[in-house]
Amino acid sequence: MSKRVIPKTSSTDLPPSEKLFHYPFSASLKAGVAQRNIDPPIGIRAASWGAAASHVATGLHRDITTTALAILHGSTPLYLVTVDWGWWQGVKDDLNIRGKVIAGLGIKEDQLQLHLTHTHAGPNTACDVAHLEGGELLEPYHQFAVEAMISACKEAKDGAIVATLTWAYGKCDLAVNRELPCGEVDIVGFNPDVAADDTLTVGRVSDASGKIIATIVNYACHPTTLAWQNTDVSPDFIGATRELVEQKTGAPMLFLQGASGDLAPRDGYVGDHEIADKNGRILGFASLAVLEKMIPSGNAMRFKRRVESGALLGEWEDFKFDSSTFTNAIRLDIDVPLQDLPTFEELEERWKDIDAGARETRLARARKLRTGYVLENQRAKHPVWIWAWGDAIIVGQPGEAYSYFQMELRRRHPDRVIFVLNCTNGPGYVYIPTPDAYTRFRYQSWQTLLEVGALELITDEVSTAIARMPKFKN
Amino acid sequence: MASTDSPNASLAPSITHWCEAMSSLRAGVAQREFTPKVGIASGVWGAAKKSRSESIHIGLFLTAIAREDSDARRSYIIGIDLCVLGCAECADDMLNGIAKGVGVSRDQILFSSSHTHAVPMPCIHRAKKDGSELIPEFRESIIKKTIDACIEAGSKITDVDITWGYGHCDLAVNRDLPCGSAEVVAFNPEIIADDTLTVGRVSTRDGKIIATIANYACHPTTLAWDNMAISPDYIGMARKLVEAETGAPMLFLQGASGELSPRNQYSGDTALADRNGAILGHAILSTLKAMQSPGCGLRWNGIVESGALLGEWNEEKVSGSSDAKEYRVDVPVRVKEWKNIEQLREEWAGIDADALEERINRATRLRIGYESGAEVTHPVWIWQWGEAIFVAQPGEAYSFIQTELRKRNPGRIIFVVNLTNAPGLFYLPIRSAYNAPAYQAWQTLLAPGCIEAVTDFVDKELKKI
Repeated sequence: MSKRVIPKTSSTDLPPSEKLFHYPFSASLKAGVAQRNIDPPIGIRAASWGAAASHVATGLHRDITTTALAILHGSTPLYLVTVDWGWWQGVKDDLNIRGKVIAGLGIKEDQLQLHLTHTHAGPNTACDVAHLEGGELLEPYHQFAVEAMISACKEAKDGAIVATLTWAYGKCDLAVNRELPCGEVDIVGFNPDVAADDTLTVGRVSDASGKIIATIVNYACHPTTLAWQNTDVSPDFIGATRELVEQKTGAPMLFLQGASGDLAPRDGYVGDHEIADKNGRILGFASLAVLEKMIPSGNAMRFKRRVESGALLGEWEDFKFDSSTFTNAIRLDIDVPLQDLPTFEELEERWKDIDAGARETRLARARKLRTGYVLENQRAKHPVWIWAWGDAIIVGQPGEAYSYFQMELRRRHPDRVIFVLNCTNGPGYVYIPTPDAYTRFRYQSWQTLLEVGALELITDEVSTAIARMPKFKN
Repeated sequence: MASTDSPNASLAPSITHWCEAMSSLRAGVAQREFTPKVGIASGVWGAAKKSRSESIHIGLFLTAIAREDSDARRSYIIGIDLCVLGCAECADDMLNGIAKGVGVSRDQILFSSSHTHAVPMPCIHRAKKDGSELIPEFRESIIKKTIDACIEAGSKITDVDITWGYGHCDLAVNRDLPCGSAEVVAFNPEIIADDTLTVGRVSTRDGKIIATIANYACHPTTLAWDNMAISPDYIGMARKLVEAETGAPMLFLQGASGELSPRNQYSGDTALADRNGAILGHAILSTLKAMQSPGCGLRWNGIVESGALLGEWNEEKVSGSSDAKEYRVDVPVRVKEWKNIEQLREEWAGIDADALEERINRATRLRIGYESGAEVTHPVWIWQWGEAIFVAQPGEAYSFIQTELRKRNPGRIIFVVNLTNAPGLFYLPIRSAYNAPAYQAWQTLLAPGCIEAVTDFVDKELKKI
């Protein structure tokens, strides 16, 4: 958690105490938080798995929630909203929710990062499946959720106070690599031979008295514990993580899904809620360990004095300091190359022999994925939102980037704490894979519209933008 | 639910079984509390103005795990909330008493201090202080309760599965802080500390956890000269958290923490020790939760056709290794050319009188059995318990030994344990510590190169296993 240390003097004497400091990554901002339960009705459409026999919810494992964090950027509120839902199929579904939240709050699009935690046991987000079993419950549920998000955002903004945000990295071993070589191709399954990025990024938001009012946990791991055997709505592992952290801190926790295109729990694809909870506790305990190691809110450390004991000891002390109040919010629209996409006629021809219903579903999905994203000349504009909150950078984008994205950004900017969020806003609801995904015919490379190199290009553009952000000097 | 009718059904990875490092052994566990009476002389700080303890923060515990060979030979690992065993004479006496009481040889026991600095020193040769009169009784209690625990652990021996794993913990920081021409023992933010956490989970064949083992390198120096409470330091809260979650005793083994300590330390506030313990406790729990079910690995179950082509693994019962080997090596090392006690008195003449006497007493007792410049041996116990190896030695080695052994032997789970058995109760610093010079380099009796020699020697032994 070390940020900057002013080098000691070259004197042969012991350094004067005021010459040696240790600062946490932090920010001092006006912030507020609010959380709502948005449990859907039993019977709602919950179709995340092609292999599932049933596509409607028969029960509730743990609460589905939305949590809003409002930060004032000058007089302009920025909203980071996380929802225990899976993903958008297209821009129409996205705007059916996000557009209404933006309108309800009366804000500009770029003031909101609406993030889906990517649970694969959530209610459907689609707005065009009312004709399917359980689909009739979606519209009123979505309206209820929109109202809850708006209400949470308003409460967060209205309750915003001067808060200290402390940032730190930790580690968690929940995620494993999920690209398993099977002959000439890779399938989506636990691969013991490739190490996974274990970075855990945590934020603690405290009021002036040091009381925690919110925590933020950013970790990259597909919430695919619960799969086709499960028919209950669930936040997946995030539910137990949140329970542990919130019990300990007494404050809402925002979970933010990281760049997990290639990462998933080792124990997954089950119907057993206990496994989801076990996975959640791996992350929950790891998050608590990071929170426990943080210096008391609003404090830094300085060398105090030497102490003659059995050995010559050096004592440090905490002291109050002024954290960075810097905020910034930019949006990039990165010009990315697309694959040579088949026309819809070609797709119809390709799928002519499969079940008619399945064919129509696939065609509809292909159309939804392209609408609003694909431009002419095999290009697209991939949107990325980059917010600076003191020493922290929050990078949100709609795709499912591989962990390369977060690892590279953090490697290139070790003097910041970087939160990296997949499944945020839109359009661009596509995988952003590494080149080898294409050569190994991975699912992610045929789901995506992007051409090889898009990941590296997006990473470079975002990295350049981060480098341009001013840094706070203590 | 593999998709057997899929055209992709024949796809399979090259390796279709996977499991963590596991051992299948015969073992038992027992725990005893041995918290002494309030009022006993406690703490090991030269800067302390008082010696008589005034309260108990968290009780002191010892935890014993007994393992039995196929020929009924037993061995024991004991983790105990002590700082060190005292002088060589007191350590010998205590270890002999325990071995005799348990009915085994000294080399069948690893008696390992957690290194908390907020406990009485079970040494009767220290300078007399307020509360010293209770030390002999404390020593007897340790011996008796250790014997009791070992016998009980032996009586509970059963077939167990032990799952081993590495995790991470950020409690420790580097504590060699350059200050002008010397180093002080204090948080150095510029050097990254080894964060490796090594964990074992002992379960009966029906899946019940009966013990956990945690090995982490960090000086328990949260509580210092202002603290008058008897305490296991951070280990107390770490153990509470883990035991509350697992329902089983936790054996803590101090790692190679010669230059590692908590960032926030030297305090009189027991709440700070609890916060430090919560960092470690939660890290241990995260590592334990990441393990497969007791006695289980994973088996490839086949392809599932879903929105994507998925690969399913299911848990299956597996047996770990039962290979076991326990032996001691005596590594040749050289004693440094040291200043005599009078020279030390002159060198330290300017410091506080209590601190001076503490240092002189320690130096004098430490030198018993060693000669300046001599060739000696340093004992290391290498115990293989299935797929885990314990490397334990009496000194306070720098983390170099654990990071090196783990780096050179990546396929193994290696517990590296300081402060185990005797003799050799001094630091094993890296060469640069001698140049600094650091406290550890003038405390030790060994010459530069000792830790490198021990590491190389042990590494060669590990390669044979």
